[in-house]
Amino acid sequence: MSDDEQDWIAAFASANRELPGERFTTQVVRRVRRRLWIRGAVLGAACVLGAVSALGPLHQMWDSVSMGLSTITVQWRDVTWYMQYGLPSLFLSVAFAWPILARWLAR
Amino acid sequence: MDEPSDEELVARVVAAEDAAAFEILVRRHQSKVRNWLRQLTRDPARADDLAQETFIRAWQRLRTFQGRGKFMSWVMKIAFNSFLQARRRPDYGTTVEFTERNEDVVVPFLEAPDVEKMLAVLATDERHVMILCYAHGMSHGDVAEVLDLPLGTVKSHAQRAKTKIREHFGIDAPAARRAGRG
Repeated sequence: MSDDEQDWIAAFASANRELPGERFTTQVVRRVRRRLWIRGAVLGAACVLGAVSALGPLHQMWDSVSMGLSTITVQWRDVTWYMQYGLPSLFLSVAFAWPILARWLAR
Repeated sequence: MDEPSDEELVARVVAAEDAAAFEILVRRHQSKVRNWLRQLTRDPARADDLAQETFIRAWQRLRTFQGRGKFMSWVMKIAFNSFLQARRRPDYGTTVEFTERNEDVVVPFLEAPDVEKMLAVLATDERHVMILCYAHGMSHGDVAEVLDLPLGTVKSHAQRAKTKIREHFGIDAPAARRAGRG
């Protein structure tokens, strides 16, 4: 660094005196911790609310799924069912299997 | 034991929202940020409010700090943007201007009437460049990042500011210190 630069730094040094920072730092960190706490509380409350409000629909869904599964199991060997839903089932199988297949091909 | 670097502390904050690591960062940089904001606002209380806002924003946006520049420059840039945003608010009020004869202006926070005198002869951008370069010891590149100016503009502002101060105070090129001493 040139003498000229050092002169300018010396001339401006008094404009950057070290400020005591204990109180300031404590205030900032307290605000940060409060934000973290509030976020955690809001997330926790949202999870509890979500779980409580989802209990009813989940129960209904479970009933429907178990009923549907028993129907499918009964109809599985019925050829007419397969003729009726064969193409959509094939399409769904390909749609689900495609990402796995693509990854395997990429490898 | 060695003090952890800014980059290490930032990584800890981003990975685990480590408030203790952030506390070290705040303690390490608060003085520069507060001084910079005091020089911008010329009001210590307002500057400290803005400095708190700056560090809270830094905490929120720390994931966007990609480590390309220095953490210090990144925070100083947030501080500068916070100041610009605050100044646009209708309730901001008036700013105390830098004056060459500053006997009637109370600036206990600066405690540098001679720096005041030097800054008073400069345009706003030149003043910002000189404060960041010589009071905060930042490189021209870092100053360009903080003020969002091209590097060439920062260099020409610094050069013009030095010339203005030298001409105004009638001093030779390498004797800026004498101007500082009045």
